[in-house]
Amino acid sequence: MMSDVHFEKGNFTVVGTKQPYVDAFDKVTGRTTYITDFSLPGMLHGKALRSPYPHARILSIDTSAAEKVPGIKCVITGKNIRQNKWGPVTKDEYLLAVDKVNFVGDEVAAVAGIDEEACEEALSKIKVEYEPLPAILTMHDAMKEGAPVIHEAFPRNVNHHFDIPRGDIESVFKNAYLVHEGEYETQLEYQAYIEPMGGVSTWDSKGNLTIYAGIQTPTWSRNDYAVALDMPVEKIRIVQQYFGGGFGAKLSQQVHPLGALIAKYAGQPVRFVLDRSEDFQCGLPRVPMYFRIKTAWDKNGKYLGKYTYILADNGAYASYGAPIALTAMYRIDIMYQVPVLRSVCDLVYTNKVPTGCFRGFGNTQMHLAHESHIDEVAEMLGISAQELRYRNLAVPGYKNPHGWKTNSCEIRQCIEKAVKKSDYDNKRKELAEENEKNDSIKRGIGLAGAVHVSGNRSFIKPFEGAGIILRMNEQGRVYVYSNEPDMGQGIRTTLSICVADGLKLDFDRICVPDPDTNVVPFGLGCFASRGTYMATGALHVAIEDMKGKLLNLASDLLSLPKEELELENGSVVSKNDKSKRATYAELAWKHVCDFPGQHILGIGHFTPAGVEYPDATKYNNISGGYAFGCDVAEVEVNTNTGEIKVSNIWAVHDVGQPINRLALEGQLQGGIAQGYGWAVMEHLKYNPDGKAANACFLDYQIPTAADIPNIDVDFADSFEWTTGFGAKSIGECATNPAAPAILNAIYNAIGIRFHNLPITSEKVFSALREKEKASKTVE
Amino acid sequence: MEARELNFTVNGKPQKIEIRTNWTLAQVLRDKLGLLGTKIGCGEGECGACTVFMNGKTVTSCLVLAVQAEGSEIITIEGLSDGKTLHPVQQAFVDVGAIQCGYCTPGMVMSTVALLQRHPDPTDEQIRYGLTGNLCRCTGYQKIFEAVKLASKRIRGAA
Repeated sequence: MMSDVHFEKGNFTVVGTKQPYVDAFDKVTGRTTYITDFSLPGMLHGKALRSPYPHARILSIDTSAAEKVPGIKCVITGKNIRQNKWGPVTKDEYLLAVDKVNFVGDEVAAVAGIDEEACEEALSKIKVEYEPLPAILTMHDAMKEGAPVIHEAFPRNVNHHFDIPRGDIESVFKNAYLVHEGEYETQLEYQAYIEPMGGVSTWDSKGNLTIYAGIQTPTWSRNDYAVALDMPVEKIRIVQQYFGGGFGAKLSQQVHPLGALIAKYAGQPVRFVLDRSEDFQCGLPRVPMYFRIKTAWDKNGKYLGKYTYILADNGAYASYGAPIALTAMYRIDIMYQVPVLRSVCDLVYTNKVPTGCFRGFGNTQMHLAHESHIDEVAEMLGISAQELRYRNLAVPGYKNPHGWKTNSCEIRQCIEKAVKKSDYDNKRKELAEENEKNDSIKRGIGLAGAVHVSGNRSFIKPFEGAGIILRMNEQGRVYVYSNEPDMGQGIRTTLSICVADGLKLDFDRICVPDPDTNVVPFGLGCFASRGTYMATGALHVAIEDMKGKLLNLASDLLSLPKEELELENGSVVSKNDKSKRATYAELAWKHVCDFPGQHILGIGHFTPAGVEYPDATKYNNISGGYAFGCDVAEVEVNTNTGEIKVSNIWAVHDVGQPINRLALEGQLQGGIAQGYGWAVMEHLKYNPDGKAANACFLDYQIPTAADIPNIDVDFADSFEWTTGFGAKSIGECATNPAAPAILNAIYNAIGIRFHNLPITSEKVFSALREKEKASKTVE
Repeated sequence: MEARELNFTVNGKPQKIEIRTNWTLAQVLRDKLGLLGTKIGCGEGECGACTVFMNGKTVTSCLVLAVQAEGSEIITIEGLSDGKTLHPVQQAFVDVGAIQCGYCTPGMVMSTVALLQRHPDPTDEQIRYGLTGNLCRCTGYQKIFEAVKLASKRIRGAA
């Protein structure tokens, strides 16, 4: 379908430049209001009572004292409300627990009151009698004989078991020159957006629900919320507000339907916003994974085959765990040409916070494992890290064993450029020499490649793509209606740039309203790095549509043939005589008068060419725009203290045609910062009693201005020919290679390979002491 | 909770309001004065989104009790400029793209203003340590560093 589409790069004037964000002025003056600033007339506050046990039966709940607290409008529990179990993949979670709680933080009851103080007081008066049950606190215990069962429908605590074979991997291992096997493990990482999750919900008397929130998937999440609330989807409206970061956490989330539920029983609008500690305990942090990777190679470094086993920790409820696990299993297979593959995965429940989407969607975890593994193999084969990759990289038009096919594919250019910018080869030599002389500080440099999709055709069978409606009002001002929301990544500006370029219009006459599901076209939203690729793909078509209409109107008005006309600075002008012109305002006014009331519309839709829903064996191309990248990291390790300083990171990414270089640089720098934090500092830990040990910013450290490496970013020369603007997406690929590049650099510095994240100073310190001990024993 | 009157100056305007003694300065600024530019990211003084000036020094307003602000002069993000012409720090943040979701931005801008008052021409080290109290999860700080340097140049008349 549409596989012969091939756009050429246009003569862009605004696309590809550096443009300040269109919403920056209001943000920098404090004028922008977010969810936490939003209120409605007559609004109450909502709060939830959460389980203090990781696993317990609820014997009784007594709410009588709570109901008497002054200012309290309603108190609800799982037993006195209408609800269904819900979940984006597996319907396994109630809004309020009914018989059993499955993690510390599970919602047991909720209240609505005139302020947060009244709510807190009411919560303190709800008496819950629990019977604690044995809990599973590590994924390695989940499938053990006699392990407690968390969900009756999953007696072995396995939410999903996947096995994706492509060819006979065992015979590849038998005949290979080198077979290498390694184990790797990643930890719980919290998204740590600076605005906590929440929403404001209100119902009308006909049962129509409006949720004011910041949701990455506003239209699609309505389906999940309708299930949870046992109501028709069509009665749910989401009105997007500015929101303070998402990074994957703000897709379908318990907080929105639970807030709506409280509002329903309160009979008034309710604001339900998590406090930071709740957000830590009940967000949907990155799925921890254990990897066993076994690969086969010939003596020239040709990659012959790969076997992967993954154990993935879904926490108490499934959320998006299954597609995340799948992504970890095979997304990386479009970076290298590997003919024979098998990947097996068990996604298990534990009695901890439910895990979910976090920038990279499982692929980041796999990058950590795989890009470490490739460096291990390179050393065994005596081939440089980049050369081993060059010998196996995907190229444009490569079709892999899963049926995925690259279009633009500049991974080699990314690595070459990053190697050059960082002076990688010289530094490998120079640093080794320096390290010989310097006992206490050891320096090292390492690299890692990366791939991600721009949109993943695995979620909804009959739909993939995006739609855009452009509307020019009677003053000639253009509104862009898209289902791809801005969460800070800058798509509001990206779309504005495309319109400014395509319609030759000033930024102050372009407006991208926040999605309101009653208004915008149907769409999936911003996840799977789909925003820029899909929305600009559709926008290009919509702009052409509107352009054609403007030219026709001007041709009538000016009595000139259409071919003689072009767009220039908010007008249609004659190419031959620039004094013959009609402004958009004139044309737009003529249109609403000729067709009473009707604005000029530009309609665009985009389906990525050659992309199909996977079959039962998970075969078929899932993305039209695979994005690539390479990070090089330089580190210093203090061998006396174990302290790691990541001094520099150079990144070069293939995002096709850059739309806004300013935002792209920012996205890439921010993605790298998250990968860096994950690699060396961040870890949401659990105590033996099943409680999160560090659920606050004091104890859970994310990178600060003092920690962050110097980050140098650049982009490959590339154009993704499946869309008119040629752009692929940056969001998740930005995070994927940072951590493995850092690990490879640490190995280069001290000769110790770490296989478990995060690499803290304590870990480095003990590993160095062990290494010393071992070398003394040998002597 | 006991109620009392609070007299203080906010963005140059004297204010006299009824408060409860357990309210924080952030609460009063946001809920009583409608100054929503001061953001609450953690309520524990760790993220810095609620940073404002109190008597010329930055404080995390979520940790300051409103009663402690009696007689003080407060400047919030709304008071940094007239809302038409930006303060050089604000302008630099806009120009270099130091803002993504923008939720940390008001606090980050206030800390930058304070930093440039202490160190008009800051070293990289001074910038980094001057902003450690303000968390940003979107930008990776690189463009914020750029903004600080640009603002410093402009304020010193060097750019």
